Amino acid sequence: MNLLFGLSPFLAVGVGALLLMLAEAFGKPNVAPGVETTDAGAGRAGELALGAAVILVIGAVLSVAVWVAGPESLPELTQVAPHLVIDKFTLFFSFTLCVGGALAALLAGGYLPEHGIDRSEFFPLLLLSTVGAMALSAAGDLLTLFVALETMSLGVYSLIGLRRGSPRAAEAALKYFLLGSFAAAIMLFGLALLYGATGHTDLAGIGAAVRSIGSPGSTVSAGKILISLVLVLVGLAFKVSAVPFHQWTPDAYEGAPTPAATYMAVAVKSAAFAVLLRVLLVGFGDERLASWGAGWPPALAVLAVLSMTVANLVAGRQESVKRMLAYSSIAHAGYALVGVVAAMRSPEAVSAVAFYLLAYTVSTAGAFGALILCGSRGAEAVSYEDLAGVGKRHPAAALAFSLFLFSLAGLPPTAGFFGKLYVFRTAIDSGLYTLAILGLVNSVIGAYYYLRVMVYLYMREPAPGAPRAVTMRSGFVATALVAAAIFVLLLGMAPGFTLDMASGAALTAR
Amino acid sequence: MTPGGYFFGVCAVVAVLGALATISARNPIRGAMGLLATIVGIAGMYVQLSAQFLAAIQLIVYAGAVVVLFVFVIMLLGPDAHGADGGKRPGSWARWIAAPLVSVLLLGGAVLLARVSTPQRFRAAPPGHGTIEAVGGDVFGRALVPFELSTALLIVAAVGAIAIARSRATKPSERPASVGATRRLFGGAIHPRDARTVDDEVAR
Amino acid sequence: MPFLESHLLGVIVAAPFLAALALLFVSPTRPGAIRAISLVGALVSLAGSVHVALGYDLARGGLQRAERYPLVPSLGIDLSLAVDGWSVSLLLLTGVIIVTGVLASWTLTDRPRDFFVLLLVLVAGVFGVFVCQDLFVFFLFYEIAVLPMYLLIGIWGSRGKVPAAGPFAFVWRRFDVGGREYAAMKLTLMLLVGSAAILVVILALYSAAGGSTFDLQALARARFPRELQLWAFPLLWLGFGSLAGVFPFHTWSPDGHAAAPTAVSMLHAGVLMKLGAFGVIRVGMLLLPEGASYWAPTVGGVAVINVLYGAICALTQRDLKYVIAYSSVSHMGVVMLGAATLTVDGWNGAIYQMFAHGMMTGLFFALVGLVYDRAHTRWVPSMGGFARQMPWVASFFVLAGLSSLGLPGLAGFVAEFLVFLGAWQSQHYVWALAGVLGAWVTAVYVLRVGRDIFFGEGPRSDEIHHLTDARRSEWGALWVLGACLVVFGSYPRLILDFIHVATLEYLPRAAGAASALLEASR
Repeated sequence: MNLLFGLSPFLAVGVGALLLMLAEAFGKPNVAPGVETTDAGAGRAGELALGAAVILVIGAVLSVAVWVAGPESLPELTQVAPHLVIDKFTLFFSFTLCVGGALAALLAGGYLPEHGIDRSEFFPLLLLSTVGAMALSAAGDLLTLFVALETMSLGVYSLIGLRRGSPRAAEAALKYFLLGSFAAAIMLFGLALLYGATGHTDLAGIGAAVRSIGSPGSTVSAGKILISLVLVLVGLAFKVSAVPFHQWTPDAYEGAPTPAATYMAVAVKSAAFAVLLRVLLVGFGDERLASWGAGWPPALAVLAVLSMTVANLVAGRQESVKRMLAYSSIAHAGYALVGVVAAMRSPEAVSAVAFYLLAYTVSTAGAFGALILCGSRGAEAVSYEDLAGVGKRHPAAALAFSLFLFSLAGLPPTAGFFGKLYVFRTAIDSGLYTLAILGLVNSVIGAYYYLRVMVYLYMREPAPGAPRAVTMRSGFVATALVAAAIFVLLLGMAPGFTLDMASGAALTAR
Repeated sequence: MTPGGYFFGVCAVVAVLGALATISARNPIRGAMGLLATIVGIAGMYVQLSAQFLAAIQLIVYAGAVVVLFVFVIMLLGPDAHGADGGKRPGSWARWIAAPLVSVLLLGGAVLLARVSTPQRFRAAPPGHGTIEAVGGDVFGRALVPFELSTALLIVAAVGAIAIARSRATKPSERPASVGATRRLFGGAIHPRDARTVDDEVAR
Repeated sequence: MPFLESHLLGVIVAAPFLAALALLFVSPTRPGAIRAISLVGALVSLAGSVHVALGYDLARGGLQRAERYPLVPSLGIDLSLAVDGWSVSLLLLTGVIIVTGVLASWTLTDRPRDFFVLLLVLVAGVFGVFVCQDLFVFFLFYEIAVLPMYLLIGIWGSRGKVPAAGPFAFVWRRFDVGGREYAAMKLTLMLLVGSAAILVVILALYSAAGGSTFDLQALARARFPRELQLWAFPLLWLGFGSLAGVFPFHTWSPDGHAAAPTAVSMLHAGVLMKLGAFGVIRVGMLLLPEGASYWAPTVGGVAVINVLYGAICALTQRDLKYVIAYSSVSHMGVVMLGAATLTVDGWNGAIYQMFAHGMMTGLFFALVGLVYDRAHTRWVPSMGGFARQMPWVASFFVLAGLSSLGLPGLAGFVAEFLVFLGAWQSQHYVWALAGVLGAWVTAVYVLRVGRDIFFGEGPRSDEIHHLTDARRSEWGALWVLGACLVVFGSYPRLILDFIHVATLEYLPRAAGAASALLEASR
């Protein structure tokens, strides 16, 4: 029973996905009388979205419940270890993932019907992909890691391809699929090498073998470990879309239906960071590899600096808000990587990254949601010009947008501010002054393009004759935005509770 | 060289040549046959690693079912079906630089590995290793969790494939009237390539 | 009312914020109610500030009225408020400026509700900075005070007359130099760069002090290692200095002030720039005394550049708002000069200059706004002879101008005199001479601009008969500010006593470090 309770967040979402598929298959299509359809899910995006969101919220609540009960007091959970490691780290991330998924589901409930993408498969795919993401954050074994990674990715590939008849969406899906498979193959190569070098598939065993390098009697070869580390890092850098492995991101986000882009931006990235942290700290966490001299920290530092700088500079030149948000997600990967680098010295950095990703999840989901809200059928808001004058005509939408942009820019009193603060603080604690300063300078560059959206929202009027963005009306999108806004303000003004939870998550990763 | 070494060499050469044929063949049937060769080569390696069951499964499922399915699909479409652009694509400089670069890097890594490191000595396979019983024991015992997780993987693959296939088959019944910037980015032609695709769809 | 008495500082900070919240529930079509609520919020803060000043025990000195509300206990962040002598004087300044600012924007018609909401949030942040004793919350309030400026200028700002000329004209056209969006973006980004530098130092100090508290007093007791002080102080100086208009990070200030609407210019030049200087002294010089004394010559040297460069730029400007904006840059240089002397008189002068310049520049911008509102131009050569139509405006302009050039009997004189005295005492004779020279240039441009606008014959003297003088609410604003200039100029002890108490308490730390440094160098 305790085992079931410990696994309940995963089971709830997984079983929920299956139930949702049944409901989709056996329900009655909700179409206008006289319209013939063979699709049982037609016209029912609303119900399914609600179902998916409820399931994910249950998953989030169960994560918190297991957290409160204390995973260390559930000895049965060792039965599933090391394939699934249920600790506070995992639970924090599964909470984040469920929240991100629920927000994406709510956004889809408004977006898909509005834009005529009547695809009820969206929601089961979203849920199954979230199961993969949650398992990824819990993976303590290479087998689970890879299967979970593929489960998550396959779901997302298909979510992107759902937009009917749009060559852009097809291109986005194909690009993401090809590059993603390529990255997965590279990573698999690395994992196989790792197994070959150490004889272990569980990360703890790998960690022990890596630590034994150099001790008498050890047959583990440092060269193989290094090469497999590089390959695994490349694969994960693709998933978190760090420069220079980011090329797919803007195209994929732009072509994907916006809720799918939201899901990619928040859930895929968070799960990839979770597994990155666990692999690096548990598998490659010995003194040599996790040092500034020879191991992964300098490589990741380079990735972090490149991601922040390149993404911020390019984002400022975008004309499409969606592409800008894509580059912003790359930049945020860079900030979070600063925290991962700091994790080599300070265990607190792990909790900083965890908190950062939660803040990033709610802010990004909110920003995409506000973008969705600013457009309506046939006039999806995409470019900056589309947003001109929205602040005057639809103050609520503009206000929500501004709040999330503030949070993404890291301005107080929002979640993003505390996230950045926490990450850069741990960086400074670990003596990484240069990284922290570069990160802060970058967040100022970032503020430019976030504020630029506000220029259009509040200070411009649409050019004469240009189409005016009409906001859509959807209870789902509004609910998602309100929920995200509550999170953003709560994490920004009273972060104490969540910070404590995050620091609980840190202790168990190593 | 031991007989095992020769056997490995033959299998490896078959697998690599097959893989090259798969990606380079213009004719899709030849590509499928290349894939078949790769699969058979890899199955041979499994046998050498005392994974007889896996080798058998590899031959039955991949060679027997998947490749046959590919061949069926190719024949249904017509064996001469090329890409829509007649098989000729404008060459991109990236292809000519990136592909050799990646290959050289991988090859260099492999050579480096062979030079610098001693191979990990695994214990000899216990009796019964690689049999159906042993694999079953692993799948339903030690590795139950990843196995169960792979069910989620299969479902997501199946649902996703159907979803995408269905969206290809269904005509876009109601295309939103494209306005302004939306037209620029989604609805209409901004790239000659996109223009052709849209027009093709409309013409069909 | 014991509750009010024991939470007075919290009330002062919260009153504008609560008024802003209340405004959100008022229909935007009722400007009367909006203005009334804003004025009440501002008046509550002013009354609270006056009460704090009257109740401050000068004999005891130090921090009084301490209040503490836990915020993020796990990181040692508390909302802890307290006042010392400096805070008292700056609270009074802020209270007066916000009340007059609300009065000066009484006639605003474009989305008044949103305007007042942002204005009040900004002022809540300013009050917070002045009374806050927790470094982290200090930074939060600082950001809250700075950020609304972006929208205030971007939405309600105006376009200055900046003709694109010179070899870089294409850049000017590309970025729309002088436009309000340009000004807003430039201001926000430059200040955010400053904030980033400040944040790095704050985190470094927190980490170096053991990572358990952000309390300013506790941090001041922690002796930071010399290397940390030496690199952290310049970062803080430039970070806060970007808001105080330190050369060469002053360039946002003329654009920002010129584009901003009247009340925002008043608040910005009158109070916000002081936040920067206050930050340099409060955080930089008190927490990092060794760094401060090491860098003091540099700070003073740059301040001299500020004084002279700002004055000369003001001399060459033809746009009225740019003239006043550059004069602010010049006068903020005096503040930094006083801080850099590390003497009692210099520091007294610096804080007093903040107070006096706040009143004076508030009056200036109120007047400029009035003139612009009536004449619809800020281009000095196109004005002239306005004194006949608006005698009161002309009189107050002359009053503010005389204070600005340091006429004895007005507030500006006291401050500048103290600062120059401090410079002399610290044996930086060049600084004192340069300061006097700056005051002399100030006299030239202020009197010339006053003459061009209000007296003589303008090019359109037949078109100005429709100009009207200040009306009710505007008149109130002018009188309050003008009276302050005269009263605090002729009896400076009203404010100087407060300042002196705090200076006497704080200076020994910084000066002690300075003399230790001197010992070491011998």
